[in-house]
Amino acid sequence: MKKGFYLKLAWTGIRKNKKLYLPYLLTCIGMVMMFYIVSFLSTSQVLREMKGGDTMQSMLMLGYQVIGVFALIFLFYTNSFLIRRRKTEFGLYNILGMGKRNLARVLLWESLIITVISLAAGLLSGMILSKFAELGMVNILQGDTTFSFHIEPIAIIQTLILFAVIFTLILLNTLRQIHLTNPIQLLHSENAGEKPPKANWFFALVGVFLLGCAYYLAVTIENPVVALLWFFVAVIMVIVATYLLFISGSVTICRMLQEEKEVLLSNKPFCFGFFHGIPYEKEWGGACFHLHPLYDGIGDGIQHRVPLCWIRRQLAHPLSTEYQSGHQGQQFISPGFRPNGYGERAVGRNRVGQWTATFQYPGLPVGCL
Amino acid sequence: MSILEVSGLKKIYTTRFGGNKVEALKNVSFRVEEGEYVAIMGESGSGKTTLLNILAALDRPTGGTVLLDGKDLSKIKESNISTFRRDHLGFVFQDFNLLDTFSLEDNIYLPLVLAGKAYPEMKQRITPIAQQLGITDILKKYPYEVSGGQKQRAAVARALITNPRLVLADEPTGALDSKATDELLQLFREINQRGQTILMVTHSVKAASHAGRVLFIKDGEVFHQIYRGNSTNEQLYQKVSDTLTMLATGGEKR
Repeated sequence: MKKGFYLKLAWTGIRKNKKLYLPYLLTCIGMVMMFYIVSFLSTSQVLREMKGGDTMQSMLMLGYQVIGVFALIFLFYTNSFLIRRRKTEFGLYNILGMGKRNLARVLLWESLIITVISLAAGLLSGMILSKFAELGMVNILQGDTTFSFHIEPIAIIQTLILFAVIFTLILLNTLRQIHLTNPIQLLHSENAGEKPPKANWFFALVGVFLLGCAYYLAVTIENPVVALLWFFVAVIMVIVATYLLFISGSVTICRMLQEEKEVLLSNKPFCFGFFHGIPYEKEWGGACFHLHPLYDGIGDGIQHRVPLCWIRRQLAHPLSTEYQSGHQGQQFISPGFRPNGYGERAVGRNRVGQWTATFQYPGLPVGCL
Repeated sequence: MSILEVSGLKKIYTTRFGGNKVEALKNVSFRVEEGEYVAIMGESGSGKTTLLNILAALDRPTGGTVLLDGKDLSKIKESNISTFRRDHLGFVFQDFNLLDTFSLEDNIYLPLVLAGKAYPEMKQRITPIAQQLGITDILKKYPYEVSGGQKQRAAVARALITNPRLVLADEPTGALDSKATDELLQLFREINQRGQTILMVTHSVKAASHAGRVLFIKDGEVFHQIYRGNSTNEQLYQKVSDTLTMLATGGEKR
């Protein structure tokens, strides 16, 4: 292949999928910025010289590790949405003649482009905002303010290293996914239904257990030095516990609601929290409880995907009159929505009879009607 | 030497837990000569799509051989198989599989782009094909802006632009209305008359009646074969229809 071909293909891929990549880029930039600011605060000379500054910095030093872990998890989460959408495209590339090795090279370039952009923009905005953060910290410590602006090279290096590692891991994960699936599966991944989530009692119990341990630690440790050591362990335990409880709890609640036929076919949405995309997409976030039965225009293209809701067929076959009349009376929420006549086919085609819902900007809070 | 030679093809799917074995193809053998227009018919579950996937080198058979231009598909290395597919085969899918983020023109260029060809050459190749298929005016449009028939024609253009040895079509008329179906089948005829070999998998009797030869697959085996000979479309339609009735009612193998 020609020189620079992969770079061009990668760049074209990003440009053409702007709508997918923009939120992802903003997320990355935000994370880089956040991490840089905290890292900056924890290594800044100016703050160290103030009274109480060094204790604050040693706390922050532990704190920013937690933020690093959080950045890793969050970026993996947002990236998984991106890859899921592009899997169809990759499957098509494979069928039309681009081997997996070549695809890997395109992905490598794409990853590099994203890394460079997000690191550059993130560091830049981080440096600009770091001064504000510094002033804020100075205010808390009640020290003297200076109007000098400086950059901590250590913080920059830490940020670069961390995010290089994160993006490499993300790239490896993507490559692994592409490598393991065959092209036909990739092609149909957009239409493939997801496996129904099981209310996992094990996870729930583990979650409760961890939460209990964490709070036990928090309450029983008196010695401040020991507390410092255990504090961040407890924080991480709480993070994991909350996540586990949320995923298992949300599935249980959702199922309970579905049993109620009224809620199933009612017009009123029941939604809380963030829209985290397709409800089965609960690997890293919460589930959606919006129970509006609407179908999306499968095959309509990303532009016409609208935030919709999800329902599981449990009580009535979707093609039965009872169900149909239930949904035909619905109001379509979005004016941009355009059913393309594939609705019935999609319903009939779905394996479990699920109506998949898709969401354009995952991870952003959306108010429900 | 025939373009495609399939002998004793077998495909067995095992479920993940080693439980049920599904024998999708039992013993499929047939030949396709250059310039032929073959339709493969069968009910759902008879193994048509499996057969097509194996012919397209997207899947490996459990037994038997597939020779494309004398080359054994199973002997081609995994890393080279995509390139082989790109250079020798063209695909038309039932659900078009056009990328919504690219214009129709870019979609048609895609196999050539993946091959690393230069833009002038691509432009040169697309002009006659677009004219033949009647899509020159809509090349700059996006897939969601055009009708199903136009999308399928763009997909056919994409399949033809690499000058493949064999065009594989999986239910090309499945998602089209009757007028678009007629247009597409007419197009396939014209393309075939220019010398392109076409292999179409379908369960539409109408689509099969435009072909030069119809193969019937039942329970993973080639059940029957009808040559067109001098029949018109309507006569072939009748013959195909009769065979299908026999298939359905369980007549004896002829």
